[in-house]
Amino acid sequence: MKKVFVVALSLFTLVPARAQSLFESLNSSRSGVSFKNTIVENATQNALTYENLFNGGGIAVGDINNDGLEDIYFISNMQLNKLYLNQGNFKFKDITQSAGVAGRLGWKSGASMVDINGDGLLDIYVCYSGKTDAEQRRNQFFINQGNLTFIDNAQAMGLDDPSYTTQASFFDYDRDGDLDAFLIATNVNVIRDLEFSQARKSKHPYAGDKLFRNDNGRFTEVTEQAGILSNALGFGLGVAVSDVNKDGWLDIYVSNDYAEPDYLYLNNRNGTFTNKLDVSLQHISQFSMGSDIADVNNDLLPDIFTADMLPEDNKRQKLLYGPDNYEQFALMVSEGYHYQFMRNMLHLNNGNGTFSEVGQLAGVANTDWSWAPLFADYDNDGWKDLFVTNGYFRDYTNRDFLKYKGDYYFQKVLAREKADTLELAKSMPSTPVHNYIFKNIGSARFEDQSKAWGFSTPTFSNGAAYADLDNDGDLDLIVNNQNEEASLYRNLSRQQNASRHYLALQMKGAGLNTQAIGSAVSIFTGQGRQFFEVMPVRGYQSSVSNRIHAGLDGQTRIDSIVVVWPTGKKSKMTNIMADQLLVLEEENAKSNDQHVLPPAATLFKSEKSPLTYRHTEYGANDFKRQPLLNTMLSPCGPVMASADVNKDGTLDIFVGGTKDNPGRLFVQLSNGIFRMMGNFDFKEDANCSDTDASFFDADNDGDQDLYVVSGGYHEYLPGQEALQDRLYLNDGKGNFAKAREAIPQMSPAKSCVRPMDIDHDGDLDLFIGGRVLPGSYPQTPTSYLLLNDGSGRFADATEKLLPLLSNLGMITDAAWLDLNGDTFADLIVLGEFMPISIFINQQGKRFEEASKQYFKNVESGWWSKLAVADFDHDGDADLIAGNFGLNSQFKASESEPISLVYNDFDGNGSIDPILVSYVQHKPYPFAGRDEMLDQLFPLRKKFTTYAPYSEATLTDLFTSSELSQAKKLTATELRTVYFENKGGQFIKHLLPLEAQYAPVHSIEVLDYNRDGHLDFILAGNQSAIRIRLGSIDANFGQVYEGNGQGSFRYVPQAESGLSFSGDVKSLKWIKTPAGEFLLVGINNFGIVAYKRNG
Amino acid sequence: MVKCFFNISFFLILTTHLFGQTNEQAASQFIKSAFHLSEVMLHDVASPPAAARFYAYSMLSAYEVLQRNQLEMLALSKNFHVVPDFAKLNLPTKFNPAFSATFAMLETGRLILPSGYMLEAKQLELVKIFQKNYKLNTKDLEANQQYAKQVAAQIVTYAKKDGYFSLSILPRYRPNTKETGRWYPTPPEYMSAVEPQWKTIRTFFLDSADQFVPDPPAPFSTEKGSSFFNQLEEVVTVSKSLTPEQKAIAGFWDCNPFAVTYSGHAAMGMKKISPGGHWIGITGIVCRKANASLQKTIAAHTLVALSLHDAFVSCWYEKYHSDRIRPESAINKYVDEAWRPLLQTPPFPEYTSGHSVISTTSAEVLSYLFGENFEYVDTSEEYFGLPARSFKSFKAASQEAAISRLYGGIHFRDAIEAGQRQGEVIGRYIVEKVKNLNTRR
Repeated sequence: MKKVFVVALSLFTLVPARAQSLFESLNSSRSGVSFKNTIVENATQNALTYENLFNGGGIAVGDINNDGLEDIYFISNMQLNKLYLNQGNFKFKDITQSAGVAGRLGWKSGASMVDINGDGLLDIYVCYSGKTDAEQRRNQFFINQGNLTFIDNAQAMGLDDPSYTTQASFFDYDRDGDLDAFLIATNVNVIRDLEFSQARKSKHPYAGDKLFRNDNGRFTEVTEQAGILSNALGFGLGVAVSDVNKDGWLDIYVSNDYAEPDYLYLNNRNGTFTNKLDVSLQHISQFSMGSDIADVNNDLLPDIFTADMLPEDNKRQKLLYGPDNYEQFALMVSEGYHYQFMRNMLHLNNGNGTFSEVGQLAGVANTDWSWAPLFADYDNDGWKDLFVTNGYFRDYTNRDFLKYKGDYYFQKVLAREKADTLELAKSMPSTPVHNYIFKNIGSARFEDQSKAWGFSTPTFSNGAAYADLDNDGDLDLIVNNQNEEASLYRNLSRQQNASRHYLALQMKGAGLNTQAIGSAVSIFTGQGRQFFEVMPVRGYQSSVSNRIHAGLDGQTRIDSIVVVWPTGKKSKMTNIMADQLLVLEEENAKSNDQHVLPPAATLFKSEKSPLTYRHTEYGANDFKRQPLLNTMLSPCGPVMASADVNKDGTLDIFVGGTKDNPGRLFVQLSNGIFRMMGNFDFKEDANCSDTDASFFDADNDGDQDLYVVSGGYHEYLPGQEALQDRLYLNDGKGNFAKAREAIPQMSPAKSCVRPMDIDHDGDLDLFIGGRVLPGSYPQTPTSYLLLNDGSGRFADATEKLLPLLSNLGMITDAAWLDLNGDTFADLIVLGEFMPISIFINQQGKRFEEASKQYFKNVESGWWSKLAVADFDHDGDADLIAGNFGLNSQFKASESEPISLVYNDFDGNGSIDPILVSYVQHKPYPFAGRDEMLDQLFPLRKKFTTYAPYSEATLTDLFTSSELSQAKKLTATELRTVYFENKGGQFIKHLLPLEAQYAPVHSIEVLDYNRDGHLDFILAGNQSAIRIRLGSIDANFGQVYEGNGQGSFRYVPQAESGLSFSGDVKSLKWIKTPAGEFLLVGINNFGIVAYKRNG
Repeated sequence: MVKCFFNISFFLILTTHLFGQTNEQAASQFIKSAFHLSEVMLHDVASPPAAARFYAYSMLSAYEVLQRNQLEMLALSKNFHVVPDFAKLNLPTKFNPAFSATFAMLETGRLILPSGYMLEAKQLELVKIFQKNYKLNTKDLEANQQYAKQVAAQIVTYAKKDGYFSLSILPRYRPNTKETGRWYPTPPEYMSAVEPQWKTIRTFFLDSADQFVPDPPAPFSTEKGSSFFNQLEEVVTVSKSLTPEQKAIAGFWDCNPFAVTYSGHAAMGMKKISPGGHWIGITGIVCRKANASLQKTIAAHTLVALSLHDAFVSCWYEKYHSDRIRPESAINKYVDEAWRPLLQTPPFPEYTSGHSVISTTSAEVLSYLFGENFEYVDTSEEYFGLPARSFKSFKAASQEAAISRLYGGIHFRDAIEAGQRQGEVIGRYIVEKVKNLNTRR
């Protein structure tokens, strides 16, 4: 092994004393880089004639003369490209002319530097696109002659492809030792929904992606035989190559703009690929642009990031985003376009074939019209940060333009003037935005440091690359801007914080793949582990440095480095010094390693469910009834309840139904299989939606009766029969008959039933949680306390025992527990936009609120589920309170709560719920203008265009007197948390971050590993939600392992083996002769099962 | 003898109030001002039924100004299905009917149109014109403005109770995906169904939205030889052999307030005046050609606008009742997925054809007012780059408007023909009502 110690130039003396941002922008007079990507709008090329006009140009970085200094190549869309030779100390020399790499006029897009012929010299591949004839679009391959000159040899190599190429990535997909080529393309012609299915069917000569196999330096197109889609709908803007499933073979991620879903091609290890996107990713970016694949949470698994267009600020969100269109969305999903939402996506690799999309939780979802995302450790703290370029020269999607610019032609006629498309195109607003840089603060969470790190200047930026241009041990950034000089950002990390160390690796492949593209590198230090892949093409239309750069924070020594070379060979080095550029050579590697590890045994494994139940939702769209709702309330099942109904010693199960799909009772047979009871007819109640069910002995006859709670939303009207709960009495043999008039009329949709002998009279009484008044969300529904007369007849005692319940809130769950040790059970309830509330039972005579006594702060949340158990073995009951989580556009805190302001503002008889949430520390109504005006007609006159609405706050919508008459609910906590019961108080403790991945709708407490300490499983997700919010589905069933002291470890999915997909509404852990099963109730799907391994 | 809808003697009285302005000039000014309503609706992208409602109440204000002070005009509103209870207002001393009526029309538009503020400038212009050309002094103008505003306020109060503001209480449209042959939003925008609850809006002359229910459409069928499938094939056949004249006809009567065009992410709504706006335009052209007096001009605009509104309510009842699939969806699904209509499919169910209904109703009303064989040249689409078309009669124009929907590929034949019958019945019903009113007096 050869080690090269680079003499790090000490730049300390150059650093001024004043506090400086991490990056320093160097202008052209300092650096010599005066390149500017100039875009000229004219009559034939403008926003209305060429949709890709402002897609920008790329950058390629690499050491073309092997002098240890990385050089820069810039793409100019309309003019000539530039090559700058790095002369050290951030001085660059334009050698384009002499090098012969200016390219042709015509539309150029991406660039990559790669040693394609294995001569140790970096060559430059230039991609062409544009609305030109095919000959003008032929890509060029500038082959490095070794003397700072290049000769285009693309034609001879078979790579002068005339597609509308965006970018090319070179890697060895067939592991034959040489680099193959993958080209992505984006159509230059508009394809509307109308032509989608047509366009999808056939290979397009120019608009599709293409794969070329390297056959001794001559490239053969193998697109179709390799299973690569190459249709006109691709609109590929980003390509990221990585071994995402870590099987030793490189996979491909293509991010596609517009309708076509992205592609995730898994390498079949036989020269073919299979697109596994829809089974791997729950949802994806809609207008996917650039992408990157990197291990962002240091779990040694590559994660996927795609850039999209969602702005950070309220104004641009409202100005550029249209109304949710459920019909179009449903159509796209049904026609195979998957679930696409407009925002950046961060898909964390669960290591089992699934990914959890957590971009919003991570804080990196909204970076405006984004192009190049680049993960790298810019501050050398051992975590990969994220840089994003962005901006679009014209606000194409400006709603006012869409809706009101059509007046232009009419006005021109009235004025007797000629309409001018260019004038119209130029009248589109132009809004530059600043680049984003996020500091990774661990666990896949990021902090916006754009301003602090020196990226506050608004620009239109596209291609970008990182490289340590001055070899000082930190990564500098180069950005290709539109109509402004390219940016060079010098990283001052080493100068500002020399105690943060680094290691740079230059990989040397043994064969033709001299850069060892595709190598996988794992680095282990005392602080942790990191994972890298050598893959220069990443981000957008660009290729970055081919060196690996690892920040090491305070570590001066690396314990070990493990490299898996592209051909499968493996190297391992130990005890490496930090702060050097180390050259690793494949020649020294050991022979082929099998690499593919046998899958480890998981805790649970998916099994055929012992009970067969298919759950089919009626298909309501609650947003058609109350357009300002944010989540739907109709889907609430299947729920489950269990008891031994026929006294045969085994547990039987009731599965709740939904409208038109009634519930079912299943009895367990001796072999552990459940049989549906045919004689139990719920058809009479087929119009109901079951939201909870409970078995208990209602009539004191020694058997288990069944109480089923009616809820949902649908078309229900408060008070209608379908909302009335049902009590079914058991004849002792498991035959049930509906008890009529046993329970009082309860008009709202309800959420839960909790039996308890409140008054110690020997029978079970009930708490019934009121959930919603259908059609009038969020008006408070009544909740109830029902007293049993001992014969199974229940009387409403709410007014007598706890009158507060009639106006408490939208209850989602409740529990009985004796908090004060007086043997009388106390009541704890929680719900949507309300505080967790505690009511102390006064000897069965009445209840008194004691929430303040038990909680230090008011714990208002979007609470959804409650579990009670003694997790810390101290003899009292602790709580797990399920909440909405943090993986959405909503955040909430004491100082910046999320609130629901409601009233019948326009006096027309309907409740108008206005959700207000903070965006950039200011409260704004969440709804867009179209939705708001659809509900509140008087606002149509107030906001005649999108522009004023885009800045409107609540006080702009309503007068102070209107607001003073309105009601307000708030939530200050959205996290699912653990409350430790400690000395008569509930102390809030945070759970591992994974608990915030999705709304929680089910919590199952169990001791899965039989260690005597209680564990729990969180499940939920929320796909019945506004399209603008998008499905929250990152929870695949999370096991939290308790240590018996109130601390919990999240068990990674690959270890637990759980992989629930969908909106889980219930969990049930049962023991049968066939083993221990976790039954999972998935909305609109049914019951699935996981069996405990061992 | 059946009296004419307006009264000749009114003309003489009116001229005394007009000072230097001739009655014809006043009529012309009214037509000019009425066009400003269309401009605002064009800007706001008022949907076809909503546009008709806006015209109706604006025109009614003008009519009320004249009618209440001139017994020779028919008390139309007394004959409404829900009779408004307008309080008596004091006339300004120097009452100027032409100014007040025109101003009241603009004022109502200002109050009820979302971007009504755009009419403020037009009101100022109107004031200036009457100041300059007709030598009205500021004080009298002010008094007339006040009067016009009071009338407009009464009309707006009446309008507020027509169910419009309760639309947002009612459920939005949900596609019926459980049955075949039902409507589903259409390309390219898949816009939400326009005004699914418009049937709940109060009518003027009709006693209910379902007073004139057309025969049901041909049942949906994919069977070759069935009525529906024959009609579906007809749309395809016609679309493939369109003559330049047929294309011109389709374009002329397109009247789509918002056809979205795209360039990648860039989208823009190309605007045209709504079907109702087109007929208001025709009414203005015809009034000019007939040298109609101010009172006839206003009466004609008002009666056309009120009839348009009732026709739309009736048509919209049927649209969401039959909830029928559009040719584009059906053809794409069952015949040819690449087939595109010449016109962009409007975002609401197919049966009956709205343009057929409202054009036929308008033709009935205009024929009554101006005669059955009134020839005219329709220049109202010139603003949208479409050349003028000549018509021998209103009936001929309405027939062309109806069949244009087949050429445009957005309607089946039975929706057009049933729509024409529906429009005719409504038009005749309204004309009869007005005639009876005449006779009764």
